[in-house]
Amino acid sequence: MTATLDRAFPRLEPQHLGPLRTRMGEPVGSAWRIRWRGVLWLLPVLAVAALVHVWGMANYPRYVDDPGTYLSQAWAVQYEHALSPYTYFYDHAPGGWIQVALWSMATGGFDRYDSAIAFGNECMLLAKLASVALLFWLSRRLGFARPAAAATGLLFAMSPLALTYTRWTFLDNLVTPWILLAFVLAVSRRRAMVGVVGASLAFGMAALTKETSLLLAPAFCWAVVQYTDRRNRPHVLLMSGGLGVLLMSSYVVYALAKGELFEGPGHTSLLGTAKWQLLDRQASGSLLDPTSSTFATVVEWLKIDPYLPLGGLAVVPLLIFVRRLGPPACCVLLEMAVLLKGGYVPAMHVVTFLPWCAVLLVGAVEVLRGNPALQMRPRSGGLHLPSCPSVIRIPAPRTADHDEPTQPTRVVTGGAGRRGQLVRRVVAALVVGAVMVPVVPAWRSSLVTMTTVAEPPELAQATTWVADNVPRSDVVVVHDAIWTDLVHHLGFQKDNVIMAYKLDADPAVHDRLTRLNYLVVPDWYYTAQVGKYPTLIEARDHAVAEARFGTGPDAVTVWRVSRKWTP
Amino acid sequence: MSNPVTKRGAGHRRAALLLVLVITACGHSPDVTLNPQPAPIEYVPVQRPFTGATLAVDADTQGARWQREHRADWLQPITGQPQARWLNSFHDLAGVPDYVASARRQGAVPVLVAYFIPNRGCSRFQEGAPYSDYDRSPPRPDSYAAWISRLVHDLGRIRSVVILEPDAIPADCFDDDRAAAIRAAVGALAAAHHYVYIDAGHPNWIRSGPMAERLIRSGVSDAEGVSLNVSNRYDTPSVARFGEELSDLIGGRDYVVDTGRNGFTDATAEPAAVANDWCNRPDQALGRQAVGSADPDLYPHMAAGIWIKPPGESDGNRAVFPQQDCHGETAPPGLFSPRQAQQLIINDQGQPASVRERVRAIVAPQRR
Amino acid sequence: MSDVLAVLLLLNALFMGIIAGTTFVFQSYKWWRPENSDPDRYGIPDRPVGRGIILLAARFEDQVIGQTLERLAHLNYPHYLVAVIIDHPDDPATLAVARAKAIKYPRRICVVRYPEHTDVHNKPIGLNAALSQLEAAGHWDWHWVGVLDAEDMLHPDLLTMVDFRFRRTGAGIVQAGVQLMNFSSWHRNLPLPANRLAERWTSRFTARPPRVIWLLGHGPRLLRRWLAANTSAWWRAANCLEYYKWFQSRLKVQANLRVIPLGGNTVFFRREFVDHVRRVDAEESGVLHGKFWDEKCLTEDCKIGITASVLGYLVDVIYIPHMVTREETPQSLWKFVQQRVRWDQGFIQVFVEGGWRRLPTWRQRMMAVYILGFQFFQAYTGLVAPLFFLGGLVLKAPVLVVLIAFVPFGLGVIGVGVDLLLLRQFGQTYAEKVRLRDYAGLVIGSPLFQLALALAAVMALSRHLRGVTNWVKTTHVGAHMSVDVPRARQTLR
Repeated sequence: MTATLDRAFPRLEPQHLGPLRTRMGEPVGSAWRIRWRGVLWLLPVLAVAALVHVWGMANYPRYVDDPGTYLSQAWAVQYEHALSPYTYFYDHAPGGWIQVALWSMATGGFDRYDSAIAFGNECMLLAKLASVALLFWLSRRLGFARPAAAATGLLFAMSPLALTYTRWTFLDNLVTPWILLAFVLAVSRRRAMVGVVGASLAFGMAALTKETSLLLAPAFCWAVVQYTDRRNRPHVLLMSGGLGVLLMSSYVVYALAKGELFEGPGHTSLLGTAKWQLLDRQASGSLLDPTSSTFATVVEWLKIDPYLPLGGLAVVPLLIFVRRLGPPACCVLLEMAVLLKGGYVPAMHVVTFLPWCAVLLVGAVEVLRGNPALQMRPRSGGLHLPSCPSVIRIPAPRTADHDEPTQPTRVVTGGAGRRGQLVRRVVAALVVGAVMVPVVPAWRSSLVTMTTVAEPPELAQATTWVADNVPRSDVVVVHDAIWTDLVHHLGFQKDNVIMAYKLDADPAVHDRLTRLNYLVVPDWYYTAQVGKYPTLIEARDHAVAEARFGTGPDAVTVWRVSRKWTP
Repeated sequence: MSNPVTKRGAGHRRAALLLVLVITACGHSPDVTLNPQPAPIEYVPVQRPFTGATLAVDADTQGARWQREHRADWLQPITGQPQARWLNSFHDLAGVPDYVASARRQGAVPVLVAYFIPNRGCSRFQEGAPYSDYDRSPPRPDSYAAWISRLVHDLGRIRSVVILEPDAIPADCFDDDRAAAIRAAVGALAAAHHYVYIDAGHPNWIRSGPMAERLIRSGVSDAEGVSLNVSNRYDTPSVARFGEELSDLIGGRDYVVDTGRNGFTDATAEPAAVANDWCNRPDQALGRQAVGSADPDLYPHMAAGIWIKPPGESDGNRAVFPQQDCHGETAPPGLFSPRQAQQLIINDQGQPASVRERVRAIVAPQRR
Repeated sequence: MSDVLAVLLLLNALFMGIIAGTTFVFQSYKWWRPENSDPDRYGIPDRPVGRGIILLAARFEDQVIGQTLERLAHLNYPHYLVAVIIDHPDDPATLAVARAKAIKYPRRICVVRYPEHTDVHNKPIGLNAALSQLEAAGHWDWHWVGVLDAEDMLHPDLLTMVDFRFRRTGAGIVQAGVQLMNFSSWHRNLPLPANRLAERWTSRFTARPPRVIWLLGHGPRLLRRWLAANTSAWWRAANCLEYYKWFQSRLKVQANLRVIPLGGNTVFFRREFVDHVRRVDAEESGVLHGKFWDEKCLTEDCKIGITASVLGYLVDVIYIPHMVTREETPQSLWKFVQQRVRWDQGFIQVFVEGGWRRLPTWRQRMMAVYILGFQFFQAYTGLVAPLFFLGGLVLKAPVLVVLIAFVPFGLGVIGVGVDLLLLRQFGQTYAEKVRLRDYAGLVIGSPLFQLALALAAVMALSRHLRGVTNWVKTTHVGAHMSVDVPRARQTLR
């Protein structure tokens, strides 16, 4: 006790006039210093992820509907200051394509490429890199060793299934970074309010990007509660929850301000669409029903890559009891629950599923090798990592158990000592090796296919044909993927380029329709379920094929409609 | 709002490409190899044979013969008008040189109908098909080609209008063989400088899109155009609308409309009922015959409204259409029905009232 | 024209959003990190060292001064002297009580004179006079000086903690927590209103009157009290929570940012700082001995805080629930508004005087503008944000404007939620029962409270513009003394 030696009241010296925080022993900015060793591990992972992602992304996978829709909506945000080139009907929260539009505004995205899809691919690349980096960061915060965290990122980057779906411009791919950021911020060891508020806002952004991310809310809440401290938990929860809800409710306020919150005649409405999506939309059935389309979707996934999703699922029962891996395991369970429940499950659902599978798979190996941070049953008192020092430790702080650094010596099954550690590591290495025997060749051949498709997508070819052959004043019905290209690059009037499904889905389009000149959609549109595209099919009955690209249902036939026919 | 092509900023593009290029040496933009199928179609220019032309009056139609046999002068409103000469068999080719010579004498354009396509009634595989007698088709396509080449030979050097194979293309049994046969026929006739109009049914049969596709497969690109409404009774505006729609899909070919019996004006009748009534409805009337378009602004591609199916020839009777009432018609299909001819004249609002009155007074002749 | 309007609306919304957002950041400092609300965050004091002087300005406080001085005489601290400042000819009643205590505790309490040469009565004049007289009397051997109000029931251990914090943090000023207590709608917390008639009537009975008769006479008084309690709880609760937020969070952020207007009492100044202030005042005004506090300022506490920041002294804020100085809310809503008018006007004065411009860094000067103007910004935001948002919705403003207007509005809604949570914690901390109607009053009253704040702000501005600068004093009844303190202390021990 130095205080007993110096009994005089100390004079105030000039050096006492320093920053109060340092004088009071508070840490200053330590949370955000760059950890260079982690960066050294992360950079090669990012390089590999980028390489695998970029190599061949123009030609694989082929065009599907949604990317074009979102890109056209991003285009509308940038150039028309509207949420959609057509009547916005609250099918999705608009956050995702607003982000794409902001990136485009900042960098001139739509001008940089000949095709909007290519710009979308760039956005997806950025989202992918962000996801991989955040996955690494999250793994580190969960207590993984650096090589393990790198492996998590690599799994997500290399899985053929993840690669296929993350190359497509899906909202889910923009959700992934936000969700991962939310978890990264939530599992902060500082347990500071700002972190949780940030996490909550990130989660809100995820929900605004695609409302389906609300599905993961229970797992997120679990993570938040797990990583908040008793001393400030009520306030942190209230503030972060309030701000998160505030952010999300801006979507509702938008609808309210437009007078489109409630159902009514003559306008779209948020609640009406939500009701349709939740109640009336045809469910795709439960995974347990082999005739359901959910089953078919899952089979499609597993055909591309069974190892990552099934592997992640397999270790859930083990890891749900590992304290720190509980929330990620919960995420996988929630995603599974959707498949089993049998609501509407689109194919891109898998996107938000795979990062967690990667975390769990690597987490299982970490548990196996005896990572001290990943214990099965934690001692009461919470986290087993040193937290930041508390503000005051002088002269003799009462021992606060939640603050004390504990020695990370205990391992899962109590295998004590260095020998046990060694055995566990050898076992873990053997398991990893055994798993890699089937996975590596399978992934290798898939990745080779995905990176070497030479034929450009049929729609891209068709677009070139349109550019060369179609008068600019003509009305063209197109697939979503090339809508933006025709409008932005080829000089067609916005109203003269119509997405095929809008012909009948959007009354505004239907009402102003006086002529159709060209139909540029894949052939499967004409064999889709009866009554889905009546106007399109009617138009084709008055048209001749002018050009055809590709084969099979994805082939694109350019139909020229008779000028003398009126829809 | 949309940016014209020229506004694309190359600098922006280059800057943003950097990221991608650093990582991979591949460029982003796909090397678009154009391989459109089918290849673009080359259409021959239309020659418009009807412009300013007179049409040949055929003195050897069934109606003319009947008129001569029965001294039925009242048939003059029909027999005095140009009508197409139908060629339904090898046998029919024999009359072609005379007909052509007659047309040459008149200084008129002969109009012939080739109606001899293999499997003409689509009954090749049907058991107990009712039209087996009517459907006297050559057994093999190559004999059809021979028939066509004989036709070309018989036509000689005069440039004729040939209406090619009514109903052959819209028929259910249209297939690649038939397309090939017609394409060959078109080629042969066009090579001999005849004006070929391929028959394309009528507005209520095959939609313009599939019809255009069939026509293209059948070589319409070398033909002058298509014929519509042959043996049918759709009014000229409906047919012309369809014709315009179709014309736009087949390179702006012209079309001729069979106006022989489309003077029907009963607005209260069901169009479908009329279309399906193949028993010489008593309320049909002669239509107007004219070269050129009925309305050049609305129907620029209409070449002429002519009588292709000779008016007065029967569509059928109860013997062939037992399920229909047939309005008391007795003449079998293909044979001249004076009763029907009489009705056509009476109902024709374009005839002078005195003529219609005189014809009405005649005791209705029935054919046994 | 509509573009200009839209830009103005957006700027307005942006401004309100910043105010609402920073309000949150400032008021939740205590919960930023778990360590900020650690029970041991101030440390355990060792044996006290410094000698202290406590200044207590009293004016017409004969009701409470005795009790206060009795408590002050028995603090758990070795070296201190309490100087009571009283205007001798003006206030004989208070003087008599204080003299008696001074005689009773000669080593602890002394009475000093309020200067006779002025008719103005305010706190800084008294404080300056007290220090000058103590200096003249030779009581000039002290390390720090504290300022109390007449009704402040100091915790016996507070001085030990203050002394410890002075030495531990090297702060020039220690601001100890002050907490308003009477948030509740519970009617017994309020004194019975006067009713001469009833008193005269019941006083006819020499003995205790029959219960029925007593009720006949005093029933209306009870009813009035009940009504007063239930209709005033909303703003009392809001007022209490303001203190709760200020001393636990807001002042600490401001201390960290080194721009801090201090509270008026239980604030302790180091000798070096007080001397420094007088030296600066002497240099500026050219007199031999300068003043310590600004005698012309309505909020001398605010001003001296800014001065400390200008001179580079640190301020340490301590809020330990069982050690806070308990005060009561103003007697009525009108009194509350008046008090707030004085503060607001004082802040205007400090701002206009411009001492803050001498703050060393650009960031501090910006913060000074923010903090000095905060009362006004807050009042504006609190009043305008809901109107702005709801008006935007009703009048079909552009969607972007509505969305941006939604931010301050939404933050306000969360703010009400936070207030509810704080009220619950407040009740737990001080073992006060929080009733459902207290929560309800807080929610329902929150827009009205904003209205009151806005009214005060407007009045302050108007007074300042009209040049009215007289002192509107808060009177003390002592509602917090008899009831709250012992019970709370009991439960906290």
